[in-house]
This record gives sequence, structure tokens and C-alpha cells, in this order.
Amino acid sequence: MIRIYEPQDLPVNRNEILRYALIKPDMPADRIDQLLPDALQHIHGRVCYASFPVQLSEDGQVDLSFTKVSSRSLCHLLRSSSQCILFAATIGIDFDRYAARISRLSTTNGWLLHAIGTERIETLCDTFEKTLLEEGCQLTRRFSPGYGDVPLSMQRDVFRALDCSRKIGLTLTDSLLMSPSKSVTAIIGLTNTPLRQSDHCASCSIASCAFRSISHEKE
Amino acid sequence: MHLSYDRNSSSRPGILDFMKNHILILDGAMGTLLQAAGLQSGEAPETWNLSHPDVIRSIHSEYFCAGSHVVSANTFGANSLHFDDDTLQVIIKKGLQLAKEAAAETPADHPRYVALDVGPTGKLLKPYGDLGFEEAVDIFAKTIRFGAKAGADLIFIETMNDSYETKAALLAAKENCDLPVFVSNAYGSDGKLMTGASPEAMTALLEGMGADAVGTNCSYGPEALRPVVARYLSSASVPVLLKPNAGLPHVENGKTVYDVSPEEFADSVAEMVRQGVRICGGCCGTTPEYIRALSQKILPLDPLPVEPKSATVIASYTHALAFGSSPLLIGERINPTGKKRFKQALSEHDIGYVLREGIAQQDAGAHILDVNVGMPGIDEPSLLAEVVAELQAVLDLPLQIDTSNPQAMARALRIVNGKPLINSVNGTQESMEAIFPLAKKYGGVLICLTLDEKGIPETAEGRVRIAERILTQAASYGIPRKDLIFDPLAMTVSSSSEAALVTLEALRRIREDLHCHTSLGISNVSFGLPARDGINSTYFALALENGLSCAIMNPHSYEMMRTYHAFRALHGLDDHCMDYINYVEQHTPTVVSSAPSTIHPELPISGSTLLQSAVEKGLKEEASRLALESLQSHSPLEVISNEIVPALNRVGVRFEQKSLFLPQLLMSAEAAAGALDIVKTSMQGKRADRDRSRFVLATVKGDIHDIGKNIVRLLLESYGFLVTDLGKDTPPETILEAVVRLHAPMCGLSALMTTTVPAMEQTIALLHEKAPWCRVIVGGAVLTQDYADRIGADAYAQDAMACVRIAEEIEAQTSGKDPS
Repeated sequence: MIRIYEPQDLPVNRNEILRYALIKPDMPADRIDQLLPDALQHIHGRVCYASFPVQLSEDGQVDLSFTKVSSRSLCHLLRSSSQCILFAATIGIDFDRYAARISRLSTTNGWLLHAIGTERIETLCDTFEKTLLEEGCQLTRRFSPGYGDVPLSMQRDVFRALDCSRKIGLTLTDSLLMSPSKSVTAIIGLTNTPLRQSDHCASCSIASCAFRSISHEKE
Repeated sequence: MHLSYDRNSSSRPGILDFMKNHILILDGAMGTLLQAAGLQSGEAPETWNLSHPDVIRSIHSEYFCAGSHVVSANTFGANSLHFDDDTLQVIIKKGLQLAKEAAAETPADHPRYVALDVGPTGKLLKPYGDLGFEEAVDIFAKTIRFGAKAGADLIFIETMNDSYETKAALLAAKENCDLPVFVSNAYGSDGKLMTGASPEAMTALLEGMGADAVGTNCSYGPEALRPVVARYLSSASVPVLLKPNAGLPHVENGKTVYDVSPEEFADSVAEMVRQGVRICGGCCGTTPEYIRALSQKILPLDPLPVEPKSATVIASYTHALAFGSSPLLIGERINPTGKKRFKQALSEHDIGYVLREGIAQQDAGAHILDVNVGMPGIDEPSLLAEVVAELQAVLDLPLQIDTSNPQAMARALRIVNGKPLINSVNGTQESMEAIFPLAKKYGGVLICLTLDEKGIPETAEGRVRIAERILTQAASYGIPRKDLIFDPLAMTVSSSSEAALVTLEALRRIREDLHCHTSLGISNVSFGLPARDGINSTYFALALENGLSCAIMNPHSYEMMRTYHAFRALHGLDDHCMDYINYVEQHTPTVVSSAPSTIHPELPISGSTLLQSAVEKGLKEEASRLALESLQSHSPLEVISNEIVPALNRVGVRFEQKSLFLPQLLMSAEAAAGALDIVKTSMQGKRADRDRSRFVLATVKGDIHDIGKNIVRLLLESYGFLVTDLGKDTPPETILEAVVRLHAPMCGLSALMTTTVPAMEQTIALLHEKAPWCRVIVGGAVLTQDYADRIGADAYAQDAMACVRIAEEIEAQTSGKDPS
């Protein structure tokens, strides 16, 4: 059964916007503050999700019933899960249109909106995860097609399983890009073993990432 | 009154006839029942037509027995994206056959019909997705041809959550069969489609194209759809359809159940039937039990008559706009006539310039945008279609398609996402015969000029006579009075002193005697006079008082806008005059001033001039103003090479040294590009940029992201390169064509994901083969130097600044000069 999550309000994490925009703490951020109120009018967060059984085999085969994949990294993630949540989230096509319009007038503002959109979709995912936690689930971190050794082509199975286009207006192109552009699909393992939620940024292996080199204090 | 019908279907009435006196009952869910019968997650339900025909037939039978007049064949996802042609035809044929067998064998006491069910493709249309509009039309056309051939009684287009895809499906139905077409959309909790359309916008679009019924299905339970239904009932002139879910699903004891019971469902839907809904059924979660409950509630009810609505309505892909007491403003600025800079933009294919003109007019308060790209030496049909497509990608205003070329009109009307204004038709036979069929087919509200073969009558009486003839002839095409707006033509008052008054009289008579809306191109009145805005705005006020409904005008004109706001305030259309007050507080009359700017310049960075400092600090307006000042005492080339370029270079170096970051680099580049624009304008066509190279830039085919490419374009432009930006999702052939046409020495390609790198490789190979002089620079999130080498690129740019440096090197090599 596919369910829908559609929050009315999402908290804004300004520091995350600044981090995605590559604005350092000592730089003025007034342009973000000017753009933000209007930009928020063009966000409509929607998530569709369903739970699937997890079956792992010794040799790294993962069977989630909607997809089968050979992946060490997914095996590792789901090592203590017998169920997983598959979800797809998007902030909607209106934001893409709005950003395209603003970019026509100023590329700088286009870049800043790009950062706002990224923060919005990540916050949507975080907020969605919190509702799962409130239901008493313990969660692994979220893991998307294309991560580690999981091929991006798994997206086709994800879109089929969640009926994303009908449920939340999220579509997949032939080249496996998602539209609306600020969207996420991911698998989260449900587990009985409490897991520490690791910092997504710090646990990433790409040490040279531009977004990592700039840190803002957590709010 | 309910008649009994012979079970022999040969004597049953046509469905549209039956609907005249009956409430039509549709079926309930198919997918829900198939899942209960064992359909697996991810399995295509349509394949069950072949693998489980008995299951499908008996579901149809159960619905007929429960009271359905219409069942939808199991063809929701039957399209050529999911099946090859042969399989598709077999699945559709079998699907309809099973439904018809059920209709024939069911002992039901009412006429029974079978619909070809047409669901969405699951793809998003261009430019935000990768499915072309005509491709979408072709996909639906195939399904509809197979369905019509297999004997469907009607086409049921349903669960569509995008207006543009809905238009493609309805167009395909209209072009490929003569069957009745019902169109149903799925709305979100905000009462809009996923891509933004309101029920009124969908009604305008679909009725304009000849849908036989409109409405909503799926989404939520019946109660949640009540507001959407109310909006359909108050806007639609055709029967309204409602086919909601049985509420939302949840799990009980390991089984999926929906939270609205059959009784509750039937009560809610019956209540809306009492308010005027004429076609009803159920979507996800509903079963024959729901339809039985529903038909028991519906049978005693008398259908409410379908009231035709008289409002004149146009729509964009988000909202409808009704002509009424408050006048509407049609921005006239997207038009090359008399505008040198606009002509240049069109001939250089600078679509960005046209879009900025559109955005500026919306920001200035225009409700509708006139779109005219007619000028000698261009391919108007293809350019008009392109500009319409680009405008509706970023602007949600309804458009007025303005061309005298019927071919260009046809192409633009076909692809416009909404119900547009059509500018124009006139009283000549030739014009009416060319334009009325287009309006009938694609929908739209016509601007009708009151002139004919003999020209423009000198009297108001003569113009009203022509309007009457246009009304009569339009009616013979089935175009209703409400879809005609008359323009009695504003004439130049300086050449005929009575001309302005005649037009005003014609306006009043068309409004009062013919009960039609009116439009005028106001500014014609003031040709040849000084201070034209004074004449224009006064005439505008007079025309409004004589019943003018909309005006084609310049929304940047303070006097025109002030007149508009004053008129609304004086006519009780502006509560507490707030719009008027806001307008005059935020705008001042444009006065040419020789006084120096009062903007206090910030202190310059030490060692920099004021202009250099403004560029370095990224102050765009400041930089443009200082560039203008600097031109008083320096030559354009000096301003560029002594001021703008050195300042930008310092910023670039600091970016490369990582002492400054992308947002600052972008702001400086915008300031530099603004200053450069001022300098170039001052050179009046003499090219300062003769020495800078052409650079063709594109995001490759299959890739719909463009933020990285846009940043590169800005940087290159701020350094003076002549950038031709081909946009995103660009086929290799298009890139080659531009490189060859411009003989560009370099080309930049961007790709975000690994899946689009093969397209990049293909493009490089094509360029190297057919345009060997051109050096190809690549960049994008997934690329590395190593990857770039493997796909044969000439250079890899890790960021936008690196791209500028590489471009400078290539330029130096190809022209034998040092990089600046």
C-alpha cells in the first residue's frame, strides 16, 4: 500500500541553505533573506512511501520484492533490517518554473534558489523520517539509487513500485533524471537495533567536496 | 423521469442522448479489484486482458449489475510507452471486447456503454520532462485509434494531473475519432493539478477544445473533492463528472482498507449530484458494492439541467481569467514593430531577451501577454512556436497569440498550454475561413477586428454591422458569442479629428447592443503627436468608460497604469483604493533628469577606481551607472580594458585562490556584464567585441539541468565572449548546426549525470567529424579530467572560471594573440 505524506509546514534551516550556496559564515547573506519568503511560496512538499520486506543473502544479493540487486553497500545498510521503507519526495514543479524565471533575470539568484531548493528537499526528507521515528521505528540512514555500488537504473523499479507520477507528480526521464529536479528517492531500513544517526555530510567519502569545506554551526 | 430500455443494445440511445435526461453512472475501481485477485505490485494490469480474461469480464459484469451505465475497459496504461504496437492493439481490442461481452450478457435494465480508458503516460512533458508535446499526442493517438477501431462507445481520459498532457490526449482523441470524449483530472489537496492548473483553467482549456464532459477523479474521498466539484459546476457549460476514491487507504489486520464506507460514499456523491453533477462513479478503493449503493441513491434523483455559462474566459496552465467589470491589461511589448533592440534579439535568436521582456511586463502588472514575432526574414511559424513554448516555461500568464500568418497561428495554438486570446480575425471572408476552424479546433477567444474587404468603415454603425456579420459566421462554425471580443480599431486622431469619437461609439454599441466584450490597441490613437502618453492614457480612460474590457498597452507606462488604477478606484473595483495607493506610492512618473545620481557610492577598494570597486563588490546597478559616467571621459574600449576586465580578473584570481567563493564571483560577473552592456549600447552597433570569440554552449541531450551551464554563460559573457546558449536537452545535430553556422572556434558542453555522458561523447564525435576547427570544452558534476579524455573532449573545465581561462587560451591560439 502506497501512502502519502504532505506536511503543511517545514522548518527552514538557514545555515544549510548557506552551506549549499557556498556562502561562508563571514559573508553577507542578505540576498538569501530577500529571496527566501517568495521562494517558500513556490514549494509544495509531497512524499509517497511504502514498506517492503528485506531479504539478504551471503553473497551480497538484496531482494526487496520490488527490486533485486547485487550490492555490498546496500547489504551493509540493511544488515539488521527485515523491513524497509521506500520513499519518493519532491518539492514540486512550481519551484522549477519559479527558479527558471528568476535565473533569467539573475544567475546569482538562480544559484541561490538552487541552494534553497536543495535545503527544502533535504528538510522534507528529514521531516518525513521524523514521522517514522515518531511511529516508533528505528531507522538506518537513507540510501538512494546511484549510491555506492547500487546502479542508478534501480530508479525504474522505484518509480514502478511507488507510482510516483500519479501519487506525487514525480517523473523519471529516459536518462534517469528526476523531474521536478528537487526530488529524492531512497530506501531506509527499519531495524530494532538502535543506530546512531550519523552526520550525512561528515560520513561521506568525498573529502574534496566544496560543500563540505564550509561548515556552519548547527542551529 | 426514468425510462426502461430494451436489453438489446442495438436499440439503445447514443450516450450523449441518454445523458440529456439521465444521470450517468460510471463504474468503480479496476486496479483495486485486480490486486485483490492477485495482481502483483509492478505488474501491468492491462496484461490481464490476455492472461485472465474471465476475471476482467466478470468485474465489468459486476459493475453493470450494480447499476453502471458505463464501464471503462481495462486499458488505463495501454499506450506505446509500455507496449509494442502489436501487443498494444491486441490488449486494447481484447479489453474492449471483454467489456462489450459483459455488457451483452449482463441482465441489467438500463443501457450499457463501454469506454476506452486513457490514463496518463507517467512522463512529464518538455521542457521540465523529456516527452515532447507532439510525441505525447502520437502516443495517445495510437491508443485512441486502436480503441475506436475496437468499438469503444466513448473515450474516457482520466486521472490526468498535468494540463499539457491532458491537452495532448484530448487533441489526439479529437483528431483520431468522432466519439464523445469525457476528460477527468486528478487534483491535489490544494485544489490544483500537480503542475498547477485550477478547475476553472481546465474547464476553459477542455471546453474550448470540445470535451463532452469535464470533471475530477481519484485524488481523495468525495468530501475532499467537494470544493473542486463546486468550482467545476460554476464554470462548466458541459456535464460535470465526479469519480472519487473511497477515501484514503490504511492497513487493518494486514489488509488495505479505505476509510469511506459504501453508504457514506454514496451519500456524499448523491449530495453533489443534487448540486448538479451529471456523471458519477468511483475510483481507487471503490467496488461494485459502492456503485450499487450509489445507484440506489441516484436513481430517485432528477438530473439538474446543465446551465451554459456566458462568461468570456481565457486561461494559462495555472489560472483562468474571466472578462468582467474590472478591465484586463494585455502587455504589448513582445513585438518587434518599431523596436530595434527587439528585432536584433529575434534575428540573433536571443530568446532570453524576449523572456525578460515578458517577465518585466508581468511584474509591471500585465494580466495577459501579447506575443508577436513577425518580421521580414524570419521563419515565423517556428519562431512563434518556440517563443510561446519558452514563455510558458517560465511565465504563468495567459497569452495572446498575435500573427497574421495562419500557419504560424495554427502551430502556436496547437502547443499553447491553456486557452489563449487569438489576435486576430477580421470581417473578410479570407480571414474568417482561415481562423475560425483553428479557433474551433484548438479553443481560444478571438479578437475580431471590425474591418472587411472594403476596409475600416468610417462610422460606428459600419463597424457594428461587421461585428454582427462576424458573430453570425462564427456561430456557423459552432463558436459561441462569448468567445468573440471585438476591437473597433483605435485610429490616429492627428489625421482625423472625429476618429477617436467614432471608435468610442462603436465600443459602446458593441457592448450594449451586441453584449460582447471589447479590446483596443490604445497607442494607435496618438501617432504623430508629442507626449503620446498623455493622449493614450486619457483615451484609455474614455474607452474604459465606454465599456472597454481589455487594452493592448504598455504596462511600463506610468500614465497608462495610473489611469487603470484610478478607473478601478472610481468604479468601486478597488476596496479602500488600496491598489491605487500602492501603485502611486511605488511608482514615480518617468522624468528625464540631468541631476547627478543621489546614490551614495560606497568607498572604493584601495587601489581600485569606483567602477572597478563596484565590479569587485558585485554591485550591479552601481557598476552600470559608473560605466555610464566613465564613458563621458573615456572611450568604450578604455572602459572595458582599463576598468571592467582588470576588476573582474582580480575577482577571478581570488576565486581561483579560494579566497573568494562562487556567489561573490557570480555577483561580480553580473556587475561586469551589466557594465559591459552599457558600454556596448554606447557604441551603437560598432562592435567592441569584434575581437572576442563566439562560444556555443549547451547542456547535452537527455539532461534537463542547466544551473551549471548558466553560470558558465554568465562568466563567459562578463568576459566579453559572444555566447550562443542553446539551452538544455540539446540534440547533437542542433549543436553542430550552431557551431557551423557561426563558425564558432569553441563549444562548451555540460552534463550532470553519468547517464547523459554518452550523449556528450556522441556530440563531441559529431563536432570533431563535421566541425574540426571547433574545440570542445566539457564540464559538469560527474566529469573529471580522466573522464573528459576518455570521451574525446579537447578540454575539461572543473568550474566556470576554469572554462573562461581555457576559452582565453583557445582564443589566443586561434587568433595568434596573447590571452587578455
